[in-house]
Amino acid sequence: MNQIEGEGYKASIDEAQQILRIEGTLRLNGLGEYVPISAMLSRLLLLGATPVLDLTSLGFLNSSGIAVLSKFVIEARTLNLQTLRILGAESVPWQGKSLRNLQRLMPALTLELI
Amino acid sequence: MSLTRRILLPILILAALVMSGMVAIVVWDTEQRAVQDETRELSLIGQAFNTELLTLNSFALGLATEVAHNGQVQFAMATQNRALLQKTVMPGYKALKVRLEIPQYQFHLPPAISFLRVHKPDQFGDDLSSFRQMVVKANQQHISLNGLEVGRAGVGARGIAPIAFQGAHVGTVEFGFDLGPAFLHALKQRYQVDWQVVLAKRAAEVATFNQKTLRVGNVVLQSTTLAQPLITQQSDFKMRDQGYYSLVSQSGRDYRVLTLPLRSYSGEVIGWVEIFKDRSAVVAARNMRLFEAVGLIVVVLTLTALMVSYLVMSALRPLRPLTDAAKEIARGEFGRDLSVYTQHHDEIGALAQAMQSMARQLSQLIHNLEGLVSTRTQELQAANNKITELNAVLTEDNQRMQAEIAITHKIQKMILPSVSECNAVAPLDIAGFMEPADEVGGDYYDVLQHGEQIYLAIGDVTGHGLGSSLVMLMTQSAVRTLVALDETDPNRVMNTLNRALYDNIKRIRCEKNLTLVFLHYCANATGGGGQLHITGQHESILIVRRNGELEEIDTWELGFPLGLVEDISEYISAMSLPLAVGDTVLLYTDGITEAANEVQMLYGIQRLKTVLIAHHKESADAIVQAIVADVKQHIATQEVYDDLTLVVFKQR
Repeated sequence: MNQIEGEGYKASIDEAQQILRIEGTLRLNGLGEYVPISAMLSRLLLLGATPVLDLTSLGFLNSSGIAVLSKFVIEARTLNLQTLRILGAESVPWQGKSLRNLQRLMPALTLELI
Repeated sequence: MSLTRRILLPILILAALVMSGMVAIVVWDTEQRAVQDETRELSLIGQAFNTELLTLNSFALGLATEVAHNGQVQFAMATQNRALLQKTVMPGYKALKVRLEIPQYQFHLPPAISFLRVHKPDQFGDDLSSFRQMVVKANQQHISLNGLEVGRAGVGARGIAPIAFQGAHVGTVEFGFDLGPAFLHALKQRYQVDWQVVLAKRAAEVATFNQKTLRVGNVVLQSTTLAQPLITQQSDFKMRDQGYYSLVSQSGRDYRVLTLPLRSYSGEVIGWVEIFKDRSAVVAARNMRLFEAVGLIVVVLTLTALMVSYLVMSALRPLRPLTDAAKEIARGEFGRDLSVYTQHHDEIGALAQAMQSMARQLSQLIHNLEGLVSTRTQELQAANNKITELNAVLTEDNQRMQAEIAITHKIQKMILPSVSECNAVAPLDIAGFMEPADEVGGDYYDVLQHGEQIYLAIGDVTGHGLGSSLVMLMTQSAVRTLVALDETDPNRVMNTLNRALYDNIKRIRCEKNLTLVFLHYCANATGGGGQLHITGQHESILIVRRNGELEEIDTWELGFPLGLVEDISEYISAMSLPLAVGDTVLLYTDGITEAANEVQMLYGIQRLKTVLIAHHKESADAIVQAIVADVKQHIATQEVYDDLTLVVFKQR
């Protein structure tokens, strides 16, 4: 499954480029509902040595989603990945602080705010 | 009926047109033939008439020539002995008269003196020279003449011969035959047509005959065989010296007329003979034929109409039960048996089969439909019941949520430090403000005093609702517990808080986390001011020094969101800064800086700083009021999405 779509959001994975792109707004209820997204994030980490998470078109992410992202970064850290790129957008309010905290969780993470 | 009429009408019109056309052609053709026949007959009669006229003229001249060569006649004329002449010719005249009508038998002396009228012996001696040019000319030139000339009794065919005695001209003898009624009646008997002789007025006027005769315009009637004379032309036909045909009618009779010019002995046209061919019989025959033809047309059309009607009716008869059946189907009755018609091997049979099949299918369809409607109705009823149940549940849920909101509002307000608690903190002037949003967020602040130690905290749990409120409560309890244990080590404080919250959040599965800054104030032992120890990640802390100088403390590096990851020890640090008398510290949540107005413009930290600086000399409570007023002015009528929380404290 290279693409999942739900109410207001879309997540698609490009295996060749090792890019997971999440778009729209994510308001899923609890970690349970985030399982498909979590699975995709885990798959991204197994695609290769230079995974990219593109969140530039993700307008909103609720606290459960932040928790999921945090777990994803910790997972990446435990895998000893040399690099993890997360692309964000300066114009989206939630991203600035939250993504910077992710970077603190994993210093090897490169955060690119466009 | 309308179908019959629609089929019948074009057929009848076509038949009527064709038959009328044929009748018209036949009648026209017959008429043309009749005209040809009539003109040919008239033409032949006209030629015969001219021959008769020639014969008559020759006969008259022959008789005259015979008499002129009689010696006794010559002698009597030479001696002008009328008695002798009369005695000589009378026996011959009388003998002739037995067999032949001789209207005129006359001797003249030169130039044109009537010497003896054998047919009228008592009248003599009159001069004829004024109008008898033939007589004058014969006496002048001593020659024989014959031809037509108008005399006292009208136009006649005349023959004149000169009489000589011993070589000397002594006079002339003339025989004349009138073109009168007797002559014309004889012609009528021979040729079975009517005759009429008319004279041009100018020709008739040179004569002196004064018969009571018909004069019309320039035409004078000489004689006619018609019961009533028919003057076809009133002009003298000066230009018409050729024969011509015409059609006239009188008293209901139609005539075709051939008019032939009558020429005098000298060739001058003096009148006309008109030959009347009665065509009444032809016209009657034609009318009869027309009548018969029309009758035939009517009969044929009537027969055609009857036949077509019969054919159409017999073709349509089986349709009537089918029409009735269709009407029954339209009413929803499918029972009629059409098997009698389905056996027909024609269009009717096909129609009947189609209809029977249609009725069967419709019947099944309706039957199925009724079943379907019944099933659907039951399903709908079931669905409706479910909706009703759900609605009840929802109503219940809604009520519960209303209650929940009311409870969380209450909890949030209840757990906040009271004004008296704040006032009890001697070294600091503290004022707090919190206004929960409609949906209740998870904002939290606290002011705690344990012994000489003073603690302040402000936090913001992500999300809204009971879960956020619960996490806030747990946080408050945990902070109070730590304070009660006099725990001031930043690492232990934050790590303990994180661990307790992380585990509890995991247990209640609400995935919340919070930012929290924890402040520990120690008054200087020497008095006047104190030290402020800060740990934890939250919004910036704003400090306005007594002189109005503003400092913004970024707490980002001092901690990590609590409850998000299991261990945050490596992200925790602390900082300390002195507070002098009159210094003001402002703590706030993002509900303040991210308060939006109608056009979604955020309140912003810059405006917050401006208001703070403007009011920093006032009491903590006055500063809080000023900021709240300014924020509310910004929000205006816009809905408040997030809790608004402020804490201001000043070093006394």
